[in-house]
Amino acid sequence: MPDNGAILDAVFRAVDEVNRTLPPEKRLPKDAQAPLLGADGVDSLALVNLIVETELAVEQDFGSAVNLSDQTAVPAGVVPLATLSSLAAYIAGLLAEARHG
Amino acid sequence: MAEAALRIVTVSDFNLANLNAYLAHDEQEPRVEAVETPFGNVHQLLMDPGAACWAEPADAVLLWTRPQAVVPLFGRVLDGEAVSHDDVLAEVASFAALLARLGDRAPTVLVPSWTMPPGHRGLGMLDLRPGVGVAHLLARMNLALAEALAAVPGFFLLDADRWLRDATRPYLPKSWYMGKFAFGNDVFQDAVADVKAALRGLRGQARKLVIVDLDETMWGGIVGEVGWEGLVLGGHDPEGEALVDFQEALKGLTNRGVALGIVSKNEESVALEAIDKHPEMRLRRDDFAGWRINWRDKAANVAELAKEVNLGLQSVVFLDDNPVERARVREALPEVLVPEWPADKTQYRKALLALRCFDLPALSDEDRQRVRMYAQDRRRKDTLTDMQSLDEWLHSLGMQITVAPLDASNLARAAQLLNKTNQMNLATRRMTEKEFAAWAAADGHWVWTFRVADKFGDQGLTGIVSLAREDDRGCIADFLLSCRVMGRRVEEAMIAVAFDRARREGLREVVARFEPTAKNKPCLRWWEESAFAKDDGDAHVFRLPTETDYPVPAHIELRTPEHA
Repeated sequence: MPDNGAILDAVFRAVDEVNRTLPPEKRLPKDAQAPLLGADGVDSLALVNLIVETELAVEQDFGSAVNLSDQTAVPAGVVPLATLSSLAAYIAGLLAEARHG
Repeated sequence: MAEAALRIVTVSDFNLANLNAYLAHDEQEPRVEAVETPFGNVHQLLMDPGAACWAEPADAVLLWTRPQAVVPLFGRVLDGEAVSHDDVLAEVASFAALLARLGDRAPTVLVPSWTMPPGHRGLGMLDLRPGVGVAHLLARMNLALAEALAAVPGFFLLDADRWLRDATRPYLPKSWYMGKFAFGNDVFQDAVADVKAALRGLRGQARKLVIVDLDETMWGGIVGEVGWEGLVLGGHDPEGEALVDFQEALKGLTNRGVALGIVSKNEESVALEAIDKHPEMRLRRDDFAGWRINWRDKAANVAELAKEVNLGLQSVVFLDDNPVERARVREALPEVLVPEWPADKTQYRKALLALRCFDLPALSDEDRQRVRMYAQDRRRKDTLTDMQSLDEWLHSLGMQITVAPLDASNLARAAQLLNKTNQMNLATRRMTEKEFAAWAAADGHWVWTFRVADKFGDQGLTGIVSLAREDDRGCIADFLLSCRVMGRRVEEAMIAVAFDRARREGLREVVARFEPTAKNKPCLRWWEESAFAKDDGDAHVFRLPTETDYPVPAHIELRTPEHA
């Protein structure tokens, strides 16, 4: 079972890719608690890029495809894209589900 | 001072935001300001010259479309409908005509070719069958578009299929459905690299000289230790075969007008013997514009060799297997492009072909023959050392200069020369083919091109002079000459042609205004030493009354269309 640190590393790699499309002043910090949504978050296109790049990084690192855009899979009260940390925790849950069928 | 960023308007039927971001943030020259337009408005933006994106002058337009979005009948073909392919091609012709309108809005228009929708297998085994297959139809559509756009100055069709082939993730369905990105980001990054290469080529910034190391780069092994017979080159050896392929790729560059040079730490006689005698060598002495084979610092040798062939360091690429030598040249000569080089020799050819620094907007006979001209030049200089005086040498050359007005047959080469000549250049005007042709066509403007030949060979179109009538004066607007023929009094012959025209037009004097740049001091020196008088009030203005005698130098035979 991948630990959260390894998942966060994959997310940070996705952040690196997304940052290549952003001007310096808008780049996402590689800070687990950095907000992704709201006024201090990123714009919608950057969010799309982050979802796509994170899915690719997770599949590459852990060999499992995860679908981060499936809103029906999100448990009540969970906001996966609140921060990079919450995104990593959500991915950990998806990977665990995939592992246990 | 840094040059202003080029303003590039991007137009597409899909989301180009990521491509625009890569364009804007890419560190390679030239810098670009990407002007984004709302995607899905291709036809509207083409038809409406008053749209906001055209309000300010654009340096270039990048127009990237999916074929099914702009050629509706192709969309129906994709859906499996029976549609006449000729009707589809008629729609392509209409779209090409619409595209051509962009010629009035930007000097350069870059159009990525159309690609098959991702994952579309068409009709499988029938897909390349004429009149039936979707892939066959798309190939014809691209050819029709390429041929239509080839006739429009400043338009270039870029091969987008290559970007998709080389991409790890050419297409991501999620990117399309969530963001309307038609391609993966590695496709956009590859596209940006090619767009930048095209812009550099258009600005005369293509590299023109590749300097290569010998031991472990051109061949395997140390020639000074194993002798030419012991080198790894060709034969039944993977590295040997790869090195032959690498040499052939280098030779291929010479056919594009890129000269080759050698800088190697070796005994010259030993290394040249290997070049002459090794049966698997694909490159021989005459393939090289020059060499520095000695034990001196490689950076100094690279600089010297570039100077010998009259090229600036910004025109040079240096290839060496040794990371220490690469670092040394990179540090000492930052203008020289020193790519990282693979340790694995089987990767050499691929690494060379991946360099995006040789793209040109036109390929002339002169480009193709340049290496031969360098070899001629070496022999020409050898004869100079045997002669007693410069005059004697000049007379021995048997020089002929053919003058021709600017026309469709020489426009591409003339524009290329206009945009890349630095040293002997009076005004350093940079113009596209279209702009140059328009300038030449204006009343009271004349442009002449000059081909120089001598007993050693034809140097090709190497000079341009243009003259503009201003009241009772003839003003030299352009005066530029390739470094290859500088110092043989071709300059005087060129000015004599413009001078003669000014006199025949009844103009009182000929005036030249020197516009200084970082590189054109040789031109200023020429004017200061010429028969023209420096203006009293401005040291960069030179004048000569047309009543003065200004003959063509005696050692030059001038051929004009009338007298040829």
